[in-house]
Amino acid sequence: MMDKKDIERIAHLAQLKLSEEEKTIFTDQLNEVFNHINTFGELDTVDISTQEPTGIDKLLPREDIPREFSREKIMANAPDKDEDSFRVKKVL
Amino acid sequence: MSPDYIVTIGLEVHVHLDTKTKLFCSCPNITGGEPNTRICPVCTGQPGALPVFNERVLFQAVLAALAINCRINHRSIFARKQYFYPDMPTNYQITQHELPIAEKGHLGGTGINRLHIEEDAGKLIHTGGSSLVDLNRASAPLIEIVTEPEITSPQEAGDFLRNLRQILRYAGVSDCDMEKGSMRCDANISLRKNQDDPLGVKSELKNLNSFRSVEMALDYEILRQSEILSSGGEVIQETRLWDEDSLRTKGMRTKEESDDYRFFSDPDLPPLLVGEDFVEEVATYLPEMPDARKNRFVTEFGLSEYDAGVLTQEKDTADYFEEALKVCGLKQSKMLASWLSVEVAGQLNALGVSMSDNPVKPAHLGSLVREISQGNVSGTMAKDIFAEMFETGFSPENIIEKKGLKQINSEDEINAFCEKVLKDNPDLVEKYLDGKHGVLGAMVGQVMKESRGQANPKKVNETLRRLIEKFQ
Repeated sequence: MMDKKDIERIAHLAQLKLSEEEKTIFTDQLNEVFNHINTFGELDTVDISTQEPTGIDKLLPREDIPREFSREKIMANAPDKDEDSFRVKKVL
Repeated sequence: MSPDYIVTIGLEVHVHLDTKTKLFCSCPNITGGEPNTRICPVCTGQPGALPVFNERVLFQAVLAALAINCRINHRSIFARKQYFYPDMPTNYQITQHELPIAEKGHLGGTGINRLHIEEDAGKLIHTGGSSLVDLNRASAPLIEIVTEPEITSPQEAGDFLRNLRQILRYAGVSDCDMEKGSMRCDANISLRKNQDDPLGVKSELKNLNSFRSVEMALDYEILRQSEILSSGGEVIQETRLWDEDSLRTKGMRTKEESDDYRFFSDPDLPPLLVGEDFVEEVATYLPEMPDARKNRFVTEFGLSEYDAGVLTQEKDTADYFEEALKVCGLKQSKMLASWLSVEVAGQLNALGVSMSDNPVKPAHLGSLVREISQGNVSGTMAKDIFAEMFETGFSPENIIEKKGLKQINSEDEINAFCEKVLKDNPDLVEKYLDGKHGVLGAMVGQVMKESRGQANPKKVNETLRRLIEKFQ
């Protein structure tokens, strides 16, 4: 179970400021999510490796040949930008 | 340095691999340039875009690992390292955590704990109220090399890094330029009282932008930690930034601990398998390493330790030397070494040009040295010819021919020059006959001037003496 301290730790890492009310709401919501995930615990996972999650047994590499992609197409989806850069809230 | 404490240093070195494309997408892998000109759906983390591994990265990483004597893991795993910072739009960095590509190597006397592959992050530029994100560097290929915590002084840390840089440059893995950021280093350092004590609490030093700043930051940190310990205090485990202006390290915001990164295997990337055949093939691309080559330059070419060291510092220079030596011959190795490390290096430095862009072909420098050794051109003429070679890229033969610069060795011609100078300078002749033999130098100088530097100075010297004797 998560408590208020866990929520405060996560908020600190994510650089979020939460009100007391929000802390209660998120604690409850996240606990619901965890409870749901805990149903996986009922499954038998003894023979399943955590290191081979894809079901494909080896990586298929590509050749080292450059290709250009349009900057405009990528930037078109940005919620905020200047001429050539994405703009985000200042984080230091 | 405090003699009261035992210093333990471990290094984490990031090296930007030289490849044509990024680690997981086909965007060009070039540093600098206009922001966001080398981005695509993969390196900007668009929904549904999947990483595809670059085979050249595998080659370069294995080559680097072999160069520092690491054991290659035939199976390694990519993991996601989650963190909150807008320099990576996926919100995680793909790296290798539990199973790296290589482990357990050594370089010089220092053990290497591991070498793993990971992607670089983008760059943030902080402006007034916001930050601008440039993702050109996002997903560029890096290797991280982690040493064992067994380095015992800042000087030793600096030596290790210089050695590592030289070897990786030799192998062609990276240009390892700390100023450009293609080699970056973090250093962990702790102090303890006795050899039997467990390792002390460490601080992790960042923002070390040159070998010099690595050494200075470690020196400062030894002082800081030993002051804390001597006064009965406790060192806090933290990340500290080196400040180049104040020459101090400063504590920074406590960041994520390993647990907070929530590492897990990347479900988009199956295990990376490397066969023994491949490792053996890559090993054939390892060049002769600097130390071995230096020794060979001493034993095979009869060079001094110093000259051999200078010439093998960079692989391009050593290659150039061997190429030129084929033309001028083994006997001229010392003269060639001097021309290469003084004249050529001097010109290149003055113009800020690298050896690979040297306008003088190695064979041309070799034939210039051969011409000098055969007495066809004098030292002074050779310098003029060389200047011309550097400017035009022409061969010395071509320049000698064109300028009519060939050395004058004919007795008749030299006689004529000398007789003229003796006739024009009766005062010098008188002084010489009075026993002031030092004036001979001035007369030789006159002859050289008359012959536009082309007369063989040794023969001029002999001829002048012979002619003056007749006056007696």
